Amino acid sequence: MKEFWKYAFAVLAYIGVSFLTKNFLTWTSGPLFFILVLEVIPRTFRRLRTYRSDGAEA
Amino acid sequence: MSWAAHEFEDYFIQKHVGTKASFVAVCLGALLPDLFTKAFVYNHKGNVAHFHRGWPGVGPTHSLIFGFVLAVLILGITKSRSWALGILIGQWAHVFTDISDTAGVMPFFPFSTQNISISMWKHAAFEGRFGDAAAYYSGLGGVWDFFWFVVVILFARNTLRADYFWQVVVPADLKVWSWFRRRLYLSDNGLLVLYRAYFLYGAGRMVSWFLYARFDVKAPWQPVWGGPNYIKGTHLMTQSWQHILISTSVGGVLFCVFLYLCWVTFIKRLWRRGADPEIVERGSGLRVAFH
Repeated sequence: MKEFWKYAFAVLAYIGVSFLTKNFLTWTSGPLFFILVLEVIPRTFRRLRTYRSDGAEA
Repeated sequence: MSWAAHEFEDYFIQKHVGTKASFVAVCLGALLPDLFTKAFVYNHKGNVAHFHRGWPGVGPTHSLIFGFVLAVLILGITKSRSWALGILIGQWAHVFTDISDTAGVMPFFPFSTQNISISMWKHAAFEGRFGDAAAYYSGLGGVWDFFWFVVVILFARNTLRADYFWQVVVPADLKVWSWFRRRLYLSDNGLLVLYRAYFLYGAGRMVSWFLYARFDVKAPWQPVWGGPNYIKGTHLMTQSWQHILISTSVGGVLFCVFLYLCWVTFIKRLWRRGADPEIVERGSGLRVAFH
């Protein structure tokens, strides 16, 4: 269920970005947007968190 | 043309081909006709619909022979049966879907240059990308997209599951998914997102363009056959029904004879020389491609 809401959020973000900026993404940038929102950004935050907690322990 | 149906159809096709065709190839095949033409179409000065779907023009990209030639080339060069079938099925699905607008397609080019259309919604590419989208989501085009969204949710939702992806989609095309993992530095989750991305993209695209048509352009919503009525649209199937029937029948028969001759002269040899991933078990007849 948690995964469903993550995907729903990504689709809403896509709709918001497309509609508000009038920059409707194409068949290449569209799927890449979802990679960015559902993989790259969460992974970066995870790494940052790990880095911070490692630093605090040191 | 369809704006999101092509994305949804890929998952419905995936349900029926299982491991027998590459999902990536199906997606690419469904994209190819517009990939080669859209940029030129929106910048074309003149009869845009005729340029897009007719001859002379780039109409042959929306004919069955285009997918056939590409599939044979891929089979000959890569020896991959899954990719050849994927490209063929994806491109043919695109051709059959585009029959629905008023411009239609020339399915049996070059044996017939007759356009076939059921005129469900207006081809409005002459309005440019934004005007075209507004017209599409003001007629039955948008309904057609939503129909395919519902079809996937009702009948092919299993294809969106993670275990389906790992047990069917990846083993059917291991090389390509491994390549994605290496080149794009994707984790397991990233690969799964990439697989689902076209469905998400289709859903997002359908809603955002619909909102654009309603609240930005404020185009009237007219989901009637041949709509929307606020725009003129372009019709390419203007000949008498007798002419259309004869021309299409002759073209269809010649196209089938051509396919058969190609099969017996060289494609059968290429097919036998081709290879499949270990997981694939092909039957005979339609079970070569569908399970």
